[in-house]
Amino acid sequence: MNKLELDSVNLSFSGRTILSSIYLKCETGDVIGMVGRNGSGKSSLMKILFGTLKAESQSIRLNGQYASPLLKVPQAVQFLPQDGFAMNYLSFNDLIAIYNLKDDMDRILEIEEIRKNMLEKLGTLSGGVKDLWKLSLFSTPMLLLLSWMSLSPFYHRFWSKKWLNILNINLRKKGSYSLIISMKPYLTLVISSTCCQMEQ
Amino acid sequence: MAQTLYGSMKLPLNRSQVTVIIYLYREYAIYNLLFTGLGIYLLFRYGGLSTPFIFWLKVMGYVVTALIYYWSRRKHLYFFHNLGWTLKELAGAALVIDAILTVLILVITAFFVR
Repeated sequence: MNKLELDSVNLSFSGRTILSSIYLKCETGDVIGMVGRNGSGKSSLMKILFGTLKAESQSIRLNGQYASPLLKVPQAVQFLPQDGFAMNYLSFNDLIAIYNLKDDMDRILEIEEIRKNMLEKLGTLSGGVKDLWKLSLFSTPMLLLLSWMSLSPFYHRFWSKKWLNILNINLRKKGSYSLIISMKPYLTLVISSTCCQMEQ
Repeated sequence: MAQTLYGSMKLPLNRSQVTVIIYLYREYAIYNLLFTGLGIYLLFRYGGLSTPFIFWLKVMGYVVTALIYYWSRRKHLYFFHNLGWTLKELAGAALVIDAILTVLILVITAFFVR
């Protein structure tokens, strides 16, 4: 059981308070959704957790030990931005080699869309297939941060089902890590076990 | 697993880290080689006297390249962050690779200038 705690986070830009005294706890198996309007600090909170943004004050503890930045802790966290998770000239095979996931090939190849497009370059794929790639590649860390504000595949029933399957298989059943989602409220509610609303 | 392999800058670098550095260099190589090319021209034209100008040209090149990268490909940084590389490590690696390549190219050029 892994436990991640984020405590006493304060952040402001140009005198405007974005985050104030934030506390967040995730444990193995949690799927925490965060919803809120633009500028409410969802993405900033994710970046603070990941380690690419430093708050005025922050305390990040992984299993009781201070861990900052979290991205330097092996297998602790991975961040999936809406786009730009990898360069367009890379193929799925390249990414498998880079992330050293050869042992996980059976699990990954269960997804038909991935099997079909193994040799394609990322830049030639549709948004939906790219998203499947992302979820398949980043399924080993303790904490997976998803930041998708307008996820088109979710609006299509087929992709929704596909995504939910992958999320369930890779996240909940394995039970080795938590997930935080930041996107549209309805879909966040469908996927997450706990949902937080961030207010301005 | 990925971060165990890639997340450290300790020398000697392993094969996987070298692959990541190659991907990093590929990201900004074109912009940076333009400035190196200009440096080669200065060396051909003015010989050894141009060395200080080449140095400052390269410094300016780093700044311009960093700005272009930040404006156009900032999101690619997540690719490297997910492999455990911080911004400082990336900037350090980029500087070191380019410094080595620039020195090599200029030394070879200087050989022909003579």
